[in-house]
Amino acid sequence: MSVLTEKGLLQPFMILPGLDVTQPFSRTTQGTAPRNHSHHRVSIAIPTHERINKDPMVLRTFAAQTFLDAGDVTSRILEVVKNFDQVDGNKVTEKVKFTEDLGLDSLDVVEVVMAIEDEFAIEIPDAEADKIVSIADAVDYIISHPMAK
Amino acid sequence: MTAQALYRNLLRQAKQVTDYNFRSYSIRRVKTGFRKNQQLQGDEAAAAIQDGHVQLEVLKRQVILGKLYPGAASVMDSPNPIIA
Repeated sequence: MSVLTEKGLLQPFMILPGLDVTQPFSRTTQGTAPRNHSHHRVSIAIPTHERINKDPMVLRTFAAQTFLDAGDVTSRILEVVKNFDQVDGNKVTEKVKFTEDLGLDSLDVVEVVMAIEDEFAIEIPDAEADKIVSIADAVDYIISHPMAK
Repeated sequence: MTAQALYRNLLRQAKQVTDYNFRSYSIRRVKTGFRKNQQLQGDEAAAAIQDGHVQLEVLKRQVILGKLYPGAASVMDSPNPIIA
């Protein structure tokens, strides 16, 4: 019995509520089922109310919606920019432009955009990265990026 | 490739260097090199950019070589440097 988990790992068997996973699989079931006899069906009775909403597995399909919420993205980007060495944290708002409002030069902007890449675990191609000149640009790019985490 | 893109690509490569000491040096070298040449104009600027492209290729080769022949990991790359 294997299950594709959130991290994409195949686990040897499903961890179900009420099942003691520290014991060998066959002993925890009926007690009568001999080991290594695959023709013996082992049934585990799990009450329906336990099966619903108590399964520790989070199943997610590859078709899942993966775009991030704009509010979360904004606050995370603000935090990244505030923590940047050359930036005065009090000046940072959602509307600032890196060069005009924060006094960064073009090299600093490259570093800020790379810090944002690291935060969301993506790599922004050169053509797109050169266009990001403000917090708003960065937010727009991240919320439209399907792989941003 | 714009100067900004060159800077970005150099930093990206520098961050991929396997060895902690070479990685730190590469990142520092890219940043200080661009700061030092920031005010250059005309031919001097073009020559510096050209040199940057050469150095980018060098760095790419060094990243690959570092991955082919990794040395012992530095204690600084340990998840818990205090007790490593």
